[in-house]
Amino acid sequence: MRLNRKFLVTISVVLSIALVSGFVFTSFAQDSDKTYRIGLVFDVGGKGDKSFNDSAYRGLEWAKNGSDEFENFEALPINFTTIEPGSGGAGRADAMRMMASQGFDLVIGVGFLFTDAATDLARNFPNVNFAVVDYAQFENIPSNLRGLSFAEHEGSFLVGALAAMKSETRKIGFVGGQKSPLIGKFEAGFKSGAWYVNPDLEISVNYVGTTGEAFANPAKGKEIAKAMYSNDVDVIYHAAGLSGSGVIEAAAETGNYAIGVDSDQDYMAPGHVLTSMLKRVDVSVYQTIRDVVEGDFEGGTVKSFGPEDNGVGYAVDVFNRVEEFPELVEQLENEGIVKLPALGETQISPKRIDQLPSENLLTDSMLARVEELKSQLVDGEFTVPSDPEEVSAEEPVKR
Amino acid sequence: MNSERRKELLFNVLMNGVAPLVAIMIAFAIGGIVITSLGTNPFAFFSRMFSLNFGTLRGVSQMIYRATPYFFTAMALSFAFKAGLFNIGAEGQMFIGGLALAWVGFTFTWLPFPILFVLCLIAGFLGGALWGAIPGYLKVKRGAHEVITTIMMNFIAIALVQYLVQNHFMNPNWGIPHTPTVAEGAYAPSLDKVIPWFPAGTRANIMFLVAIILAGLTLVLLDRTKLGYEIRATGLNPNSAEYAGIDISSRTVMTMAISGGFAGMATANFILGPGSHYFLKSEYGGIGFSGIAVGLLGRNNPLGIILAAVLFGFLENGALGVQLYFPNVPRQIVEIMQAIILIVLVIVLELARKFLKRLQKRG
Repeated sequence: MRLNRKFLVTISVVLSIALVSGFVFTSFAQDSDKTYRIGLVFDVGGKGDKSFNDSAYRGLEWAKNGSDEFENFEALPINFTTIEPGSGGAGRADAMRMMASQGFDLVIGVGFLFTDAATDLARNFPNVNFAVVDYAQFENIPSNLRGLSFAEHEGSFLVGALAAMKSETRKIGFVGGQKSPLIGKFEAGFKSGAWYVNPDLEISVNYVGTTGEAFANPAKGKEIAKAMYSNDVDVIYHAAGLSGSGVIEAAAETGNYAIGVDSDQDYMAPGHVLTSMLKRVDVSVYQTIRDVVEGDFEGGTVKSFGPEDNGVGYAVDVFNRVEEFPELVEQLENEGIVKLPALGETQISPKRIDQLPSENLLTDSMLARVEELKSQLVDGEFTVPSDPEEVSAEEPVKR
Repeated sequence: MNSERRKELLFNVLMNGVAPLVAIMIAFAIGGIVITSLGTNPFAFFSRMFSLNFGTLRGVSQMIYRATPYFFTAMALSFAFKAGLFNIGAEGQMFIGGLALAWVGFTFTWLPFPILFVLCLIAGFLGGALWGAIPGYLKVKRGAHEVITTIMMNFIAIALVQYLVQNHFMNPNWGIPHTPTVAEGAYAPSLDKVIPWFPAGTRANIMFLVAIILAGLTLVLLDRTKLGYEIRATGLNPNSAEYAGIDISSRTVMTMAISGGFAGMATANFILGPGSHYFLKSEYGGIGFSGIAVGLLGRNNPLGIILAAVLFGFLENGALGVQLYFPNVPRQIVEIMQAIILIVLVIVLELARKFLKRLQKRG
């Protein structure tokens, strides 16, 4: 009887310890095993646009599976869901709301048109984190919303430097879309980089127009570019959306160089696109997801991604570094398809493959020089102005 | 007489009832085959779509919210059709009307509800009516075919509203090209304020009721008034209508104006209803063109158009939600189905017409 009671007490103590520790253990385990639910709503255009939407989707895939481009971008414990709001875009807010009301940990909107909808929803769903690519508001941002923006002027600085190194005529050009402060950032950075490398350069600047239509007028873009090229300009950087395809066409027709913008446009005219200024939506999406998973997510502000975290950069691929990627050249010639780091699987028409240059457009010494400039910029040795009025050949950067 | 009436009944049932239903069923069947080929169970897919729309009152109101603008652009097509005119310009008329109603809403801000709300609707109607009347006038005075002119007027409208918003109404600091917001007096109350069993905070608003009232008014106008009779007579046979003393020219311009007026009110659902309360062009693209499909499916009858618009709302709203559950089925499946409905409908109508003709020949 006595023994029995002792036995019972021991047993119950052991059991309760086991139970409590088990409980503690499982609740611990639950916490570290949490799978985060990430939702993403595409912009008009949707998946397969070879631009922002695809780039954002790549960021999701990196978060799920890890990145093959950036080694430190490891796979994270997430599941993701995407929604295409469809034509008209009236579904943007509805799609975000659906994800928020299902308790997603992070809901991302791709494109500035999400600004108002996301700001509204963030106030109504304080426990859900939101992020908007190219967020277009700068005040009263809710604390659970992060705007994602890009240091376009710093990326433009790097391609401006490359343009200056490449130019033989010492004349380069810039073609903007709609004349506005946003595109002014591209112009300022480009001039700054070019004059930093060579203050004797002559830089022509022109804009396609003053309305939004200026981003959708390839014919006008081509006309402007042809005029510049006939005036001895040999490298033109465009920040003109669809109008820029006219600039690239003009470069190919006149045998000069163009520089692409936003996504990797080097494939559009092999041998005639020196490089492209990359706005890495994928990087911003991945890093925002990682911040949520690691508990570092900070809202209430617009986070700018720059060269220091690869948020902006310049394209290096098989098209401007033929000698570096002979196996990719072979693949292109055999299969007509190639996987580009910042663009994904890309199909190239045989006619364009025939135009592949035989030498590197970006030489080793150019790359070494621009990487040196990049590290100076990242280290804060100078800053790049974002207003074209503040850039001159005498004072290309601020110290 | 009796057999005449029976024939007319048969004709109505076949053309206006059976044909659209068959078209819808075939579209779901083909959609199902595509979904199966993507490795998804089509029954699970469609039942999820159904429950997303009808499972909750919130779903129902979302569906109504998305359906409402289609009613207006479909009416633009169908009303013109009554007079034998093809108005393909609902898209442009919608933009002009939308900007006009937003302008009234953010300009006369001191006016209270419902005066400002009604004024906004009238402005939308007049804006669309103006844009519709121009092709009507060109047809009467210059003989320019309205299909060509209405299509071309779409492009002018798009460029015009973009120019006006970006250069006159927009604050450059906003970053997004939209107009200022309309005053509270212009807000269209959400449906829960009128019909208590709708969930609070729904975006479905009284524009849906406006649509139903307008459908009824249109029926009365066409069937019970002199103007309606003249419009229909012009559509059935312009030569004999003219011989009977109807001023075809003025009826053509008037029909196109009313038709455009319908389209002009389409965006009120978004601008005046709960939401952002401003005119943002990129939010409405395509609603005018989809209205053509909705009008044809509704067999150019205002009540049929309400049903067809609800079907399109069902598909649009469902397409958004199902992506959460069936990530491997692209949302474009809905656009495919909308297109199939239209193609099959045209074929079925033609078959039904042939069948009826043969029946008539037999006696």
